[in-house]
Amino acid sequence: MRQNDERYSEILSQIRTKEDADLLLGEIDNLLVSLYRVKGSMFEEVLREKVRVGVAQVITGAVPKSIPGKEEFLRGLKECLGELKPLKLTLAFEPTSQTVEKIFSWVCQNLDENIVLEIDTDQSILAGAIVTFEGAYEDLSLRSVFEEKFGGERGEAS
Amino acid sequence: MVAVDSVLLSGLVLLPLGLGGVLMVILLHYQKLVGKFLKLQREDKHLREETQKEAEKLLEKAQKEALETVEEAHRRARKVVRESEIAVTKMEELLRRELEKVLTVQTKNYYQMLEKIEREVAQGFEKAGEKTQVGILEEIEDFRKVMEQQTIKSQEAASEKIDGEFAQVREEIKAYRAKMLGKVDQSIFEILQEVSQEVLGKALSVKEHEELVIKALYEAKRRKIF
Repeated sequence: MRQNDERYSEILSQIRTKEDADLLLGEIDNLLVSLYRVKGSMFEEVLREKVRVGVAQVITGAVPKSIPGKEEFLRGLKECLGELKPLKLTLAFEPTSQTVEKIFSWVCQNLDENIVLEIDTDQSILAGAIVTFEGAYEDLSLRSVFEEKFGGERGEAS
Repeated sequence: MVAVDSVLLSGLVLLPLGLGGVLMVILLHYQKLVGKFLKLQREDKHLREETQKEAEKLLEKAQKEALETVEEAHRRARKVVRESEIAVTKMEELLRRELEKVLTVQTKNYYQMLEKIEREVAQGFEKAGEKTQVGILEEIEDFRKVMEQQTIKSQEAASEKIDGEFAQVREEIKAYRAKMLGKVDQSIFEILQEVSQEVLGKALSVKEHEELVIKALYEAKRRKIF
């Protein structure tokens, strides 16, 4: 459940993964650098050439006209991105964008946090997921079930 | 004029008849084609159903085989663990018996040595005079006491040494057993992992993987990780 500044809700709604967030941060940095260049039209040029169309459209619609206003808007957006908490998931398979969407949808419905997914893959976990969040770690993979089962059997036999 | 009219008239009569004939032929062909199309459609449907059934059978077979492999690995692991338990117990028993043998032989040797000395001294005593008998008897008694003490000390020292060695060997056996059990575990787990990876990799669809990930997230929530 994301509860950010209303001005940024549309842009932030496009962020699912850490990669998305990093990409947007790069675009914001480019726009911030362009603000105080000598040429007046630099901001629009960067927006057109170095920012993805969807993001550029949202920023164009939301950003104030004055340079200080623009800077405040962009720095606020950066701050919001910095506040997103990474939920690290290790999966046994390479997720499709549809899979990411499903996981993110579950996160939005079930967690009261501003979360961004950080997904990596490790086939050796077989299935399920290893979940890491704010220092807590839970191995909920099929591999861990096997390990637990065999550990238990050995304990019984010793 | 009359001839022209009759030609026109017969033309007008024959033309629709001809066209009707052509139309009939086209209709017959069309009917045949429709028949063929429906037949092909039926065959295609049948083929698809067969393929689907075959795929389901294969998947079911693979899952069954995987389950059997896992169970077999499990059975073998238990057997190996049981066998290693029995082997270790036997080794311990054997070691204990050997150590007891050594201790018994050593004690026996000490007593034999003591008896021999006593016999030699007694022989010397018979030869010695009456006057020196009392002194010799006292010396023999002292000597016997010293020997007895030394024998006890030696027995204790030997026993201590044997106990120490026994404990050390026992520790070594324990460590060896743990190491072997670890190896058994590791190899079984590796086999299991390979089999599962192969079978699950083929059998689990992306949808099933997704469902397991969502289940994992629910479990993480239940364990209050979030």
